[in-house]
Amino acid sequence: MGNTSRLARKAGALFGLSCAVLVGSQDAAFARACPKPEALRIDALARQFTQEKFLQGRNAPLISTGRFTVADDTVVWHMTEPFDVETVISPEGITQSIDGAPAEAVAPGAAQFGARIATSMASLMRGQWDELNSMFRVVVLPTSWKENWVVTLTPLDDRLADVLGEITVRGCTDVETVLIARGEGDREVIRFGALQGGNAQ
Amino acid sequence: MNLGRAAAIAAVALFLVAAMFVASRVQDAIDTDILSLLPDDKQDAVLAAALRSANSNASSRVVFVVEGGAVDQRRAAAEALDDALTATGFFQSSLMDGETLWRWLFFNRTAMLCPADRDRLEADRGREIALDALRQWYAPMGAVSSRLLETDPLLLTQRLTGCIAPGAAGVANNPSIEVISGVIDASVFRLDVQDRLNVIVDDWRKDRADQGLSLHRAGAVFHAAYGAQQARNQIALIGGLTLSIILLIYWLMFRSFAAPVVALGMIGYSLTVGGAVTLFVFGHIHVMALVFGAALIGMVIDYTSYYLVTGLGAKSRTRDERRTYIIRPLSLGMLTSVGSFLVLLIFPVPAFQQIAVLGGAGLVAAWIATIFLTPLVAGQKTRVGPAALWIRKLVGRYLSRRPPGWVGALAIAAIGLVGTAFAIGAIQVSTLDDVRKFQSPSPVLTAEEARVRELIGFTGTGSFYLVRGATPEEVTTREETLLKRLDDDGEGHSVVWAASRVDSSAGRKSADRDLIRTRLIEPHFVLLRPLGADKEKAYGAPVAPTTSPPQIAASLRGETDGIYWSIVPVTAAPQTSFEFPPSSMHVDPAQRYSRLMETYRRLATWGLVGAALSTAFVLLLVYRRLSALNLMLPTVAAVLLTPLIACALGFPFSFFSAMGLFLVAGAGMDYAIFQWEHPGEQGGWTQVGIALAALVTCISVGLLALSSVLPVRALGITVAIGVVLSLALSPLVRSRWGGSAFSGGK
Repeated sequence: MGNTSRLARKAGALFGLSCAVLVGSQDAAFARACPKPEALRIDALARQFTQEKFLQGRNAPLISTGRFTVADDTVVWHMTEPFDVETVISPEGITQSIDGAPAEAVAPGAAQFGARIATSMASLMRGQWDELNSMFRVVVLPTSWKENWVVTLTPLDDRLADVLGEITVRGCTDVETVLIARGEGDREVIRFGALQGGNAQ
Repeated sequence: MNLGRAAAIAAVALFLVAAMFVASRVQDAIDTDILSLLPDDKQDAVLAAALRSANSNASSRVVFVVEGGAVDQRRAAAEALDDALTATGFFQSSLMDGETLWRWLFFNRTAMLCPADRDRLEADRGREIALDALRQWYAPMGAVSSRLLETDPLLLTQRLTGCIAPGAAGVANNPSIEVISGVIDASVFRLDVQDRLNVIVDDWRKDRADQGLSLHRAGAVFHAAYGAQQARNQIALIGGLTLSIILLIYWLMFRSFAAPVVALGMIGYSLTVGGAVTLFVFGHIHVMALVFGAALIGMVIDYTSYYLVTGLGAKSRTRDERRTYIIRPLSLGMLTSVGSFLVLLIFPVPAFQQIAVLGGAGLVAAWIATIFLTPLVAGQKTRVGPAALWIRKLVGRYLSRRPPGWVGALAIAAIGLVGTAFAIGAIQVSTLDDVRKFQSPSPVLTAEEARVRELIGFTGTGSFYLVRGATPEEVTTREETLLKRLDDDGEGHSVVWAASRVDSSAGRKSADRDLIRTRLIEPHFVLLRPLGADKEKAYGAPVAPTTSPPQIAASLRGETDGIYWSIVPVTAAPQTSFEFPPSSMHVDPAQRYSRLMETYRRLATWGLVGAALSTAFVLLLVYRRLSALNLMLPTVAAVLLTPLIACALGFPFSFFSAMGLFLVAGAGMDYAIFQWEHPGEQGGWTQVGIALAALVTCISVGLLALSSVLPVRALGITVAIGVVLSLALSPLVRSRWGGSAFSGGK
């Protein structure tokens, strides 16, 4: 009887402890939960990026790195490796500078599509959902409270959808990764991280 | 059955056939193209064809921009508009052009080069192109794919697209608007096409009035629709006013409701028969010819007046007597008027040829109705209204005067003097030939177009370069030389489209193919090795011509009388120092048409001299005496003085004024002939008829001065002044100058 009551007290204590731990961990998790993507309001930022471009039939991805900055109305997408190409997207248009040469206006073509995605990322970070909705069918995927949010962007324009494919953006307090899934098995993964040198905002 | 009754039955049958014909054809037969009013260039058939092609290309394009409101609503609204336009069956979206263009450029990616890339390769800087492609492959989120890696790793198709359609960037980068653009694959000057588009736009606006959305339009079709609506309003206004005033005048003249009914019947009969003949001859009728048809009301109704006044006065006449009384002057007047109208046929302006047929056939129909039908329905006797008495007392007295011989001599001397002064240029009236001043555009449409231009950089173009050659290859080669020279002179940016940029000459393709192979692929493809690109797989296989050149290229090319040509639309004229390559020229259609208008104004003026000679010939043939030429004095004087008076009133002389003078000549000769045939007291009531005819013509045609279209306004003012002068000078026919006066009534 005495042993039984001791065991019962121990079990009760363990249960109580485990509950306390569980509740405590829940509190901690709630404190770290990501805001909803619609709540993002980042007016300026600078991030390092790494892009891996996977092409069907090619084993190794094409990898490029650089800086992505957003300030006021201007988005700067500066690839530094393996080539130095700085693309500036502003209300005045899109310019490109290669190897530090004077910037030149970009003709329609490949760079236009990249610019479109870049401005979309900036729009998402700034909470400009009207602009996003003007180009994409935007779906916020349901995720559990402790996960990063996930937003999918499908171009409204069918022809654009053929070229761009579907874009999946994942993040928490800002955009962390972008996955672009194109037709024919091609895909691109872009990861954003803190800027080396500590300029991230 | 006597001859008169048989003729009446035939006249009624003619009307019924004409009415049925008009009813079956009129729906799709109304042309509202303002350019149809302008003359074709008969001296240069190639230029005329190029102008038509350029006009057609420019006029068929439409752009809609949806702005404002929430994004979802804007997009849904744009889709709804696109669906509605596509459902018409005559709207083709530009998206299709883009796909066709891409396919064509892909097939020609190793055979065509942008000018800048050609310069690069000629300077042996092919490495820049290869490196550029490599950057694009690594660039974040570039529009590249594994399929492109297989087929075009140098991204040559993208480079071609970028230099051929540089204007697409503005549209692609503006997320706050939705743009729908395309081509109307039917005549934009067809009223049913215009009405359909107007209904779509009106419904769209009505359905979205509360969504904060606005729609801006650009395209010639909307201006044409505006012009057509203006014309319809003017027809309704001028026709309605004319009818009302004429009915009132008739009632005041004859105190009879039968008289206005007869007059209305006469109008309906003449216009129906005239319209049927015009439709039969041309297959369609210009809306401006219909406006002139409103003017014709004033002329054909004169014939009713001439008949009705024969029933005035104490002397009672039978139907046959009344008919006999007017048949000779009426026939002669009709013949001279029809002759004047037919002179219009010599001018190569379709709308004016239609007016000639409409006017000529309408007057013949009026003559038929007056001689064979009016006597049956007008009754035996006409009552004398207060206006008839008033006109007889005041105007008739003046018209029945017989001016002394010296007045006639003086008139002839004055006419000779003024005519000579005109001929040698001593008298010059201000002229207007600039077609850009013919019609004021809608301020609403102008504002919408300005907004479209602001939002997407849409630039309407009018002028173009015309290049000719003996073969299609020669034309394309010459066009390429022209473009090169423009680029060298820093004017290449003015070129909107060029067929040779989309589909270059065989010689150029061969040279470009060599350049691409020897200066780019062979030496620099190796740069793309890290991508795993296979040169032979991508560019080794011959390019199969599995698709034809895009419509945009085909629409800029043509062939006329064995001469091949192409047009290059531009936004600006070249510098005066620009040296054109062989068989190339810059064409400004507005300037060109203005110059043609000047030429035809001069020709029409000489045509008036021809009409006068023709009338003189008819008069001498009919009367067989020199003094019959007296009949022409009032009309010739009126034709000479009218432009001077119009200019003094601020209305410059134009081609259309000259056309109006043909009507003056026709109506004026009628007055003179009736004055000649029924002189003195014997013709007292005839002079009332002449005054009534002049009054009615003056009112009906003079009201055309209310029109917003200069050609119509010029006609109205010219005819109003000319008719008043013709009436005022008509007593000159009784001048004793020239021998014994007149026999009259024979």
